[in-house]
Amino acid sequence: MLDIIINPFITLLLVLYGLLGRNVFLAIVGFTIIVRFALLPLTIKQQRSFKRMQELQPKQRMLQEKYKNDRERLTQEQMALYREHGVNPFAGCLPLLIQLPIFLSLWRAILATLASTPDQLLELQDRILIGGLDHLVPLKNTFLWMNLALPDQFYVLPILVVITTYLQQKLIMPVTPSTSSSGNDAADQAARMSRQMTTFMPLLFGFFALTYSSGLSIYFITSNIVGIIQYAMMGKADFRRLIGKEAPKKEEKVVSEVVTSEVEAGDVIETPTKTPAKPVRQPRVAKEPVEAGSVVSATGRPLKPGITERKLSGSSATASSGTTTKSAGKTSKTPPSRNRPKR
Amino acid sequence: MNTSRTSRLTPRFWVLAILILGAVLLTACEGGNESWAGISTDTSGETVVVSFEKQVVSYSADGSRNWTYRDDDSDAKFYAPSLITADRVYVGDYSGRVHAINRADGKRIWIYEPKVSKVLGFSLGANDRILGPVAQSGDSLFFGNEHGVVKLDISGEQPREVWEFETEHSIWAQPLYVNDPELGEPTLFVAALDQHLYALNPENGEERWSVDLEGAAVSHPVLDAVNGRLYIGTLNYKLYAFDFNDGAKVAEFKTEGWIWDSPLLEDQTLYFGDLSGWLYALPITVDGFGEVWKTKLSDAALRAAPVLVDGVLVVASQDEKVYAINLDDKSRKWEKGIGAPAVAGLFVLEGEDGPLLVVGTKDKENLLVTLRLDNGEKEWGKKYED
Repeated sequence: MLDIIINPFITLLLVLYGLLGRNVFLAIVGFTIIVRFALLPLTIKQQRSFKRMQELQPKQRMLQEKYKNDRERLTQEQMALYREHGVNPFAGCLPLLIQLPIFLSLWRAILATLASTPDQLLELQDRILIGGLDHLVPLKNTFLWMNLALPDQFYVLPILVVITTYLQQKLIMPVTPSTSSSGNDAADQAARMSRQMTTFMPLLFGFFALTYSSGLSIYFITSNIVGIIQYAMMGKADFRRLIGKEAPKKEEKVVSEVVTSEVEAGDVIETPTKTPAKPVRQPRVAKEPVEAGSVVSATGRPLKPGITERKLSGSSATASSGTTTKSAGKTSKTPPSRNRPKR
Repeated sequence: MNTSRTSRLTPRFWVLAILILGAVLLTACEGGNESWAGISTDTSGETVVVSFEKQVVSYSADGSRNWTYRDDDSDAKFYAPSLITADRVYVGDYSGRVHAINRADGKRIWIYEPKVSKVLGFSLGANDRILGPVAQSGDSLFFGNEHGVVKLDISGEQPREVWEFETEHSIWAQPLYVNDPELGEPTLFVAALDQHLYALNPENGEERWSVDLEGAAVSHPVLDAVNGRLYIGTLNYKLYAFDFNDGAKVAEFKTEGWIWDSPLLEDQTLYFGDLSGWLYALPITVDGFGEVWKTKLSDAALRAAPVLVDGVLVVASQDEKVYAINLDDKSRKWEKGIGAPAVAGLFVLEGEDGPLLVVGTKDKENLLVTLRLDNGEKEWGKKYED
């Protein structure tokens, strides 16, 4: 099934090999760069989706806390939240799913053209889509001290694979606190997951580099470096994360929306910042105080039937960012969830 | 705390799950056999020896097992066809070693361990896989590996490396040693994946000449002592004829597909198949090649060289069939399915009721299949038993 992708990749790799002076190292590097940049739109889309999901995390945590004993309701509320903000929770995974067969094919193409076993070489004739490339087969598999068809016996490439994979993971994964001070289990889970990814992926790819052809290690290393460059170009790579720090965050739009929606007309918000307290602008449609049990949108507008339904119960209507709010006639102080100091 | 399980399935979880799935798929993609079985028969057609994975097995023509050889000390893997001599079997393994086995009982006589240089504790030259058969001349053995061709002196109790000739890519072909005074000096011919055919002085490994084949050569050249030529097929749709003494190109023939195995030379005609399923009969002339006869037998590869027995040309195909063709009128005598891709080679044994065809496949359940030459009926088969 993957042959539809593998065969053009093999052909492209052979073309590059011929153009780059029959240097298999340069061919694999060039090939990886081309494919990575061809997939850039997907990478950007994936990053945007992750970012939107990240922005919604405080709200998600509140929902998880609020409905921790009602799974069904929690799911409904989460889906409502996603709909409200136009976020598909799986949109970040979709580009990855699309990329997966491409990277699998890339891997297979490199193995096929290096043809380290008779089986691989036997299959190669039918995989070359352009005539006149047969004289290049199989690729010359030696580069420096390595036989690229076999694992690197000096372990230099596997070590580089581990390092570059770790760097890439570290740069693109947000720093999450190791434990949640509020005892938020979901936040802990996310933090654990993030740490596992950063640890697990380099080791996994290092294992592959140790086991399989050195040509694949070159692909991994190039791919990681290109990935880091791409993220840096998109402004996503935060090099402070390498030393366990996060760049200072701007106050996010989603949070301010949530705050606004839960403030009653005429209320005053006291912020913990040094800026003087200002009266919050009254939502145009909220002429009257919102009653407990009223249906409102995130902007405070009454919702049309069939759209998002989110009920505010008096005691659980909370605000983030450490603001003091009045809701449904009651004053409540909530711990700041977003501006919690990072560890 | 009754935390919702659903809430734990964050997008990061899915990313991790997808990556793990990808990793598993990658492993699966890489899996499978390294190669098909290495098969060879002795000159009298009494014994067939099969090298596959961790063992080398010898069978008689009636299908009975003579012995099984394993090297459990080193966990050696065998894919190279063996060389069967009067009293020994020589076979290379996937770690660059050569094993000398007693032909009668399958006991080890010696193992040649390649010289391994170490730098900072790391072994250099550990990736010396041997995929082709060993060649012998008197007290000398020649074999190809990942780096070139090696000569061993086997006159003593233990083998000794005499020289190594380096090539730019692996050698999967059996070296061809020729010692014919009418043709010239003794010469060792080696075909390499680096797209060259080398003529070496077998005494010291010095290069006499080499030719650019413009395509990788997987199998050894065939000697035509009558015309003083060598014939070799390549993975660039060509079969060449070279002069024995200086490597000058005498003729070339364009094929429909890659040529993997050595052609069969019989009565001044070359018989060979290609990976596009074409079978050729190419006459040899004084000037080069005559008018070819060719037929498309299958859409699948004809990897192994055909065999010619009693006027019947037999070809094994990757389409899981064996074809028998009457040579006189090129009519189809029979074709038989064997249930597995027949890529591992085709050989002839002397059965009690006439010649038996031995077909090697890449399927462990049908590793070896023998067919009767007269009607193509299956005589016996062997599967891989670890």
